[in-house]
Amino acid sequence: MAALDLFQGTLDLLVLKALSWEPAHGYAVATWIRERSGDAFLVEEGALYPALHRLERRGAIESEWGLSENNRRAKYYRLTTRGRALLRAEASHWDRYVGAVGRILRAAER
Amino acid sequence: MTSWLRRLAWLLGRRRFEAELGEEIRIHQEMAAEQARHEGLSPDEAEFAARRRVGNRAQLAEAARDVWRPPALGDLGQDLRYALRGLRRQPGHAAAAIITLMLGIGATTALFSVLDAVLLRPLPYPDPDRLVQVWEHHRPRDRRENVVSPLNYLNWVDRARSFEALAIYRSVGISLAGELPEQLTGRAVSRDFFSVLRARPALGRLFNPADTATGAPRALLLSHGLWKRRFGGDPGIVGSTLQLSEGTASIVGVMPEDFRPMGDESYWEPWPMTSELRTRRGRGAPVVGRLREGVSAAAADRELKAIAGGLEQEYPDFNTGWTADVVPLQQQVTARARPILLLLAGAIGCVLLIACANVANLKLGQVLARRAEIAVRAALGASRGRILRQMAVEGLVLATVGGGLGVLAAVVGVEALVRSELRQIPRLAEVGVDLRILGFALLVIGAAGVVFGLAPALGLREGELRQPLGRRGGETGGAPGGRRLRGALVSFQVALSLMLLAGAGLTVRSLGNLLSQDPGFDAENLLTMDLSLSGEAYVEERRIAFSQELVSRIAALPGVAEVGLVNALPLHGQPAGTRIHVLGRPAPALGQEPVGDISVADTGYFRAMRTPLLEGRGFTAADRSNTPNVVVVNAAFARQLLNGGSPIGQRIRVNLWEPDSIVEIVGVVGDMRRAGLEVAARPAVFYPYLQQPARFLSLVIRTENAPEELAPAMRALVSGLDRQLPILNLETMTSYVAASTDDRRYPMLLLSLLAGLAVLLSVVGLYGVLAYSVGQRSHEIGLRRALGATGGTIVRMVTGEGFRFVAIGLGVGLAATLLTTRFLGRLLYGLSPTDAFTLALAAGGLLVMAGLATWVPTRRALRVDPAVTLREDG
Repeated sequence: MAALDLFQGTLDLLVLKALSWEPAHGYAVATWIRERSGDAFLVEEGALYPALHRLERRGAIESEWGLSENNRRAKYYRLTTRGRALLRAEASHWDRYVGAVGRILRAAER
Repeated sequence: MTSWLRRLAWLLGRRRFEAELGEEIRIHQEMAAEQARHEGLSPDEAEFAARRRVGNRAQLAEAARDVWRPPALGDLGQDLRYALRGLRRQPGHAAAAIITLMLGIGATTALFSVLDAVLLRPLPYPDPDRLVQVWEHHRPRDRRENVVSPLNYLNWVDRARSFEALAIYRSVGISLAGELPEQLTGRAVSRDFFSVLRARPALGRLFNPADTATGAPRALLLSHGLWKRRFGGDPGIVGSTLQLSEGTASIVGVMPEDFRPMGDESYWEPWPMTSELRTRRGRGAPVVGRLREGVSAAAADRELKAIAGGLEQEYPDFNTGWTADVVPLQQQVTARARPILLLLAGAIGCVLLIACANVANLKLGQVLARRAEIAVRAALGASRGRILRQMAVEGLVLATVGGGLGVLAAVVGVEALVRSELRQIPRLAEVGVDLRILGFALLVIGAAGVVFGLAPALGLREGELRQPLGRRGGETGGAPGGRRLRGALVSFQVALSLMLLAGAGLTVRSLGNLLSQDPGFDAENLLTMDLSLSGEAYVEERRIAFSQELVSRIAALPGVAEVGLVNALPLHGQPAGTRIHVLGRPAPALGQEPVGDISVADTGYFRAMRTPLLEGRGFTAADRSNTPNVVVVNAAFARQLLNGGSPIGQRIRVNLWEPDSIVEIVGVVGDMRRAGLEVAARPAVFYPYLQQPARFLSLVIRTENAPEELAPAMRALVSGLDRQLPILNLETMTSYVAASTDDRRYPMLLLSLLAGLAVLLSVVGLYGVLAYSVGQRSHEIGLRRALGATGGTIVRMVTGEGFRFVAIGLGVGLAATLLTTRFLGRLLYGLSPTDAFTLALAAGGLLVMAGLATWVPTRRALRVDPAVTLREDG
C-alpha cells in the first residue's frame, strides 16, 4: 500500500494521540504513527518537528530531556492537561468531519 | 495569549533553543541509523539512509524555528539589511533625505520650543490666567496702554466688582550710601500689589499699614538679587537699617528669587494713597489686577469701560476722551516679542513644509525610479504587502537617522538661542527642548516620507507592479503623473522660499539702513572702554586727578589721535531725562516741561567722536569747580527749546545734582543718537567733567590704525595707574554700535538662516526632479538627437521643464510675499514691506540657484549618445 499524504492538522492530532499513552521522543512518535497506520503514513521529519514545536508553543505538550530505553539522551514530549482536552476535542471534531464527508460520499453514490 | 508568552520566552532563550534543536535532530538521525542497522543494513548504508530520511537539517531546524518566531520579525531583519544596502547604493539620495530631516526637525523644534516657552507657558504666579493689566486709553489720539491716574485707579477700586484686587505701582529710585554707593531702581506699590500676584516673602514679612503711618521708618522689601549681591545673602538682614543718601530705611523682608515681575527692580516700598494724590492730575502708574473667580477679562473690560464712562461724565476736565482697557497679563508680557516670534514661527512652519515637500519628493522619485526593481521583485514572488513593508522600513531607517540628528540639532539650537540672550524675548532662560514639539516635527516629516513613499506603491495594483518589466526601453516620458506631482511640490517649495528669502532680504537691508544712519559720530577707528571710579578712595579731587592723568597718558601713546571721556556713551538706551527750563522763557504747563538728556564729558570727547562743534566753544581746562558752571548743548536743544535761536549765553535751570542749579550754555555740538540708531536725538546737556566728576567713565580713543591693536596697551596703562581698577567693556566702537542693534540682528539672522535653509532644500528638490526626469527620458532625448535635434533644443527641453516649475513657484511666491512681508513690522527700517528691489533680488537669487540646479541634469541630457539609443532599440 502506497504512503498517504497527511493533511496538516491531522498530523497534530496523530502526534497528540501518540503521546496520549506515554511520553515519547520524536523518533518514537514517528515510528508509532507509521506502525499504527500500517505504514500508510510515513511521517516526514520536516513535518514532525514543526508539529511538535507548534503543539509545544500552544501548550498542548511539554518537553524534557531524558534517557531512552538504551540509555541515550533524548528529548521527551509529554501531553499536558490542556493537550488531553485538545486531543478529545480534535478527535471528536475529526469523527464528525469524517462522518460528514462519508455521508456526502455515500449519498453521492446513490 | 499564553502562546505569545511562550514565544517571548523562546525569543529570550533563543541560544539554548538553537543548541537543543540541533541536538534533537542529531539524536533523531542516530536513532534512525540504529534502526536501519537492526534491519540489516551496513553501518555506512544505515547512516546514509538515516541522513536521507532526515534530509536538510538546516531546513528542518528553520521549519521548527518558524513555528516559534513572531510572524513579521523574521523578515524584518532582512528588510533592514536591504534598506541599509539601498541607502549605501544611493548615498546622494540618503544624504539629501537625512539632511532634510535633520534641518527640518532640528530647526523647527528649537524655534518652536522658544515660542512655546515664551508665548504659551503660563506666568510664574498662582492662577496666572486671572491676572490682568489695566491701562487707560485716550480714544481721540488712539493712545492705548497709557499709564493710569492714581485717582482714577482709586475710583476703579471703589466701584469695580470684577476684581479680587487691583494694585498700582510706579518706578522709584534710592541711593545706597556707604562704601559702595549705588543707585537702585525699585517700585513703590499699593497695598494690594503682593496679594494680586499672590507673592510671599522668602524672608521677613510684606508691608502692613503701620509701615505707612506717619513717623514710621521707611520700609523696604529687597529683591533676592540685591540681597545676594549687596548683602551676601545675610539671613539676619530683616529688621536692619539701611543708610540711604535720602535718609534711613528699615528692611522688612526679602522676596523669593523668581519674583521679578518687572525684571529690573531691586526693591519695593509701600506707596500710601495719601491725600496729595487726591487731585486729578497726570497719569503715571501701571495697574495690575486679579480677576474674581469666574470673571473673564472681557467681562472685566466691559465693566471698567462703563465705570470709565461714568468718570468721564463726572470729571470732564480730566477724563474727556479717556476709557480703560483690561488686558490679560500673559498677553501683556509677551506683547512686544509676540509679533517677531509669530513671524519666526511662520517662517519655521514654511521651512517645515519645504522639508516635508522635499522628503515627499525624494521618496516619490525613489519609488518611481525603482519601479523596475519593484517589478523584478514582484515577478520573483514578493507580495505587494512585502514590497510595501520593504519601502516602509527604508523610510523608517532614514527617519531614524535623520530624526536622531534632528534631535541633536534641536538640543544644540535651543542651547544657542538661550545663550544668545535676546533681550527682546522675555523669560528666555526658561526655555528647554520641548518634547511634544519634537515629537510633532518627527511625526509630520516622517508622515510625509511614509505617505509619499507608499502612495505610489499603494496605487499600483498587483498586476501593475510587474508592468515595467515588459516595457523596458519602450516608454518615452517616464511617469507623467508622478512628474507633475513632483513639479507641483517644487513650485510649492520655490514659492515658500521666495517668501522667506524676500523677508530675510528686507530685514537685512533694514539693518543696513539702520547702520548707515548717521549716529552723530564717527565709529570707525574708535576704541572704547568703561571704568568705574567707585569707593572711598575716589573722592572728587582724586577722580579728577586720575582721569586727567589717564587721558594725558593715553594721548601720549603712539597711534592715538584723540582721547576723550564721557559718563554715558551714545546708543546706550534712553537715558534718564530731566526737566529743563530756559531762564527768561515762560514756564511751561505742569507735565509739559521739556525734557533733556544730561551727561558729563570732557574737552576731548567731541573731538574724539568727531561730533562737530557748531557754535560757541567746547570745555577748557579753565572750566573748573571754582569757576561758573557751564554746559554744552546739542543742536536738538537749540531747535526744540529755543525755536532755533542761538543758545550761546542762555542760562538754564536743571534739576539734577543740585536742585535748581543754574548753568550757562557756552557751546552747541551736533546731535548724537542716545536711545538707539532709529530714535532721533533728544535735547541734550553736557556738563564739563572737571565740574561734575562722575564716578562712571567711558573713554573714547581715536586711533590711527586698527583700534583693537591698542587694547593690550590700554590694559597695561590702566593697571599701571590702579592695579585694583577693572576695565569694563573694552571694545571697538563699531562692534559697540552693531551690538546696539542686537534686537533686530538676531531675528534677522534667524530669518536669513531659515531662508537659506529653504532655498537649499528647494534647490535639492528641483535638482532631484530634473535629474530623475532626464534619467527617465534619456531614451527620448537620444531619439530626438538622432532625429536631428540640436543641443540647444535639448537644453531648452530640460531647462524649460525646470523653469516652468520655478516660474509657477515664483509667481505664487510673489503674491504670497506681497501679502505677508508687512508682518515684519518693527524689523523693517527705512524701506517698504514690498520694496521692489529686494523682491527682485530675492527672485533673481532663486533663479540663479534654480539655474545651478538645472545645470547638472542638462549636461547629462546633452551627453546622451543617439547611437547608443538606436542600438538599444535595434
